Amino acid sequence: MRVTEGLITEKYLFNQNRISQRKLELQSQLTSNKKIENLSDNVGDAIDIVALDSKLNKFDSYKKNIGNAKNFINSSINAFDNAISNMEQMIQKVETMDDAINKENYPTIIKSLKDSVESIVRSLNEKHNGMYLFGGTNFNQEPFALDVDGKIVLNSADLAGEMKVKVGTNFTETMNMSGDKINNSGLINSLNAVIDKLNAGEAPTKELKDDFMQGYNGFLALQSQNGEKINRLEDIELLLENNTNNVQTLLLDKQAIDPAKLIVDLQYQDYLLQMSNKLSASILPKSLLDYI
Amino acid sequence: MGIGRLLDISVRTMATYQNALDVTSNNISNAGNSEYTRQKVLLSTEVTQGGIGMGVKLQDVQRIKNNLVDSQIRKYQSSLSDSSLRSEILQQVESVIAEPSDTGLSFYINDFFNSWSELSSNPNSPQLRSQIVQKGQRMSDRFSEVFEGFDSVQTLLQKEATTTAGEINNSLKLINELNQKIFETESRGMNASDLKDKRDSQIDNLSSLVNINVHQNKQGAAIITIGGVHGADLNVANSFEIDFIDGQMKLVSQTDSTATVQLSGGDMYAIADLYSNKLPSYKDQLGQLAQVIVNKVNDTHKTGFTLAQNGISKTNIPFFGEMTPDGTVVNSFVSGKMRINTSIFNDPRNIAVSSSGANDGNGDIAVALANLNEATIGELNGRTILDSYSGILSDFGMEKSKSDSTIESNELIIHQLTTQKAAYSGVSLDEEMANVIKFQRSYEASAKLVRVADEMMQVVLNMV
Repeated sequence: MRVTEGLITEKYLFNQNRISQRKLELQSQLTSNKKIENLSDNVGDAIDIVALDSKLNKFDSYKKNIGNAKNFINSSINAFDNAISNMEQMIQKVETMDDAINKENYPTIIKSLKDSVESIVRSLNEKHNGMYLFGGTNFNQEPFALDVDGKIVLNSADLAGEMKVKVGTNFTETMNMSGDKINNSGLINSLNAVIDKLNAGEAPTKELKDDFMQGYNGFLALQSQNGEKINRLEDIELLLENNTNNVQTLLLDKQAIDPAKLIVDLQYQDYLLQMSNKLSASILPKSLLDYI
Repeated sequence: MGIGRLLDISVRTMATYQNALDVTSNNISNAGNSEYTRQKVLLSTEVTQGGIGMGVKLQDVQRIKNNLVDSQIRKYQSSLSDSSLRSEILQQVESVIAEPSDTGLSFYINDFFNSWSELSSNPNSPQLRSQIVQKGQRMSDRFSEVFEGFDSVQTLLQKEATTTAGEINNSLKLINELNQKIFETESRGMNASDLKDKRDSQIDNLSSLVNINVHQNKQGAAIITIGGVHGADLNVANSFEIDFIDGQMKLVSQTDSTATVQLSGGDMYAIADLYSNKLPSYKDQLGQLAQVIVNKVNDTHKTGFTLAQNGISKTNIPFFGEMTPDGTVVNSFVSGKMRINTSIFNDPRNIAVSSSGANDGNGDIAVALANLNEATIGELNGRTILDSYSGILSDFGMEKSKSDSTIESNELIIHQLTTQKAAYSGVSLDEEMANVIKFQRSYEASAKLVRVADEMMQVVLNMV
């Protein structure tokens, strides 16, 4: 094979171009800190990155929803706690009515008991971010009210609604305790029966007190359901956290660069370029011409 | 006569080697010219007279050329130009698509559907409702930007096609002119090597613009056909123009519009294929995806009830577009733009996410809308929105990636072929300098022979 000056130049330029291209690629990865900047860098990995990013965004959204739901449920728990505290005070006061000494204090005790009922209704009508905690999904009316006799009445025709919040792929959790459940706990009926008796100026009978205790226990059971919801949401949150970590690890595998490896590679390419330049500097101009 | 023959031979020899040195010096001066084909002096023995040799003569000056390598270079050059331009254009589209990143369509689609998911936790929140309108608008804007990006690339390709057709015509005209000049030069018995180099260079240039076929006729003229249509020969040069037939960009003969070039290589093929097939295909697929998103969101949204206003919740409201009195949704997706229902845009309370009227805390429809992003959809061939979008990305990415790897392999092949060409047709300064010395010595020796002949003549003259 004849070796011509053109051939040597062509070879030199071709190699230099390839080395420079590789250097550019490495520099770009190092400065962007990303292995894949464009779709065509690696189509499969780029599409995987899109899918993984999408998962992370969804997880973030679920986590946000869980945070909102937990805040809502915590508000519900606080409202329940207030109501329970008032109920406990009522239980104590009702017990004092059995003592004959307190008979002349009935009006004061009855007023105090009615104040507690009012507080209970206030707690049951509490809102979180403008949403009735126990109004089902009907936010147009307060769920509970007091009638002229001071008894608790349902103020809305529909308290059954469940507020479902998306916390996973095709997976929802109900965050509210519906007014219907509170109503069905027996608390309101038993309280109202006590109030009827109080309005008659009498102390509640043992049966009424037993019913009230049953209603109170039913209400406590609902409170524990709120606690269970929080626990369940925290479990899901933990699961999402683990999934987020897994996806982030996968994403790092696809996307993260190894700076040390890239720098070594870049240095190697630089040596190659220097070598190519040095060789070319010594070979390219040399010919018989130089010796004539 | 004897001494005269000596002088005769010497003078002819000197002239021969002077010509040889001319050829060599021409080679040396063109050593850095990549278009140049080295020339070789073919010396032969002069016809003997009376059994005695008459010296040397310059029989021919030959262009050292390997036509097979040349035609291979043109073939791969055509493919390289196609891939290079294709890759360049697709790179522009790639930057419009901007995946994977936080500015890609996937981000905005996910963001839109995630905002429905967030609304499910606080269905009457004015902020979250406004956020849905904003995110719907951003998704729409992003789709619109991508479509506009495609349109602007297509407009660019249209201009590029006209320019390239002009370059093809210019190249064919030059080849035709060079064919004529070469024919005239050679008819006068002169060497047309330099003109042939120019013609070869022009043919090489043409091969990067469009797929060509080249052969030589008996008169030595290069006959060019472009995708099966006559391009240029000794007598005529055809002219081409861009035509649009059934939305397809075609290169047709100006003199016969039915003569359509079958494109398969060069810049022109990349331009026409991207303009007519590839870009419309990506655009159609994205358009279908956008339309499915619009329809599915509307179908679900129409089942929901708005926030109660004056105690009344409205239903059957499309999220995109407007409802006509006959119940048809119009203007939901127009010219690449998803149009959010004006009543929703102006008042986000009209977002309908409750599954029953006057139940502002019900977000069942928001959940159903968020679930659309995870559901397999019949209109998307049983794929999810993201999978369908990934399919489009994959098609596009593979095309760009294929172009890039074709560039790499073609560059390597062309490098090998160019190396072969440089080894065969290139000038070697060592070789030429050796020839210079060889021809110079022969010239000097012949000059000495003249002196010998002169001295012999003097001897003869002194005898008188």
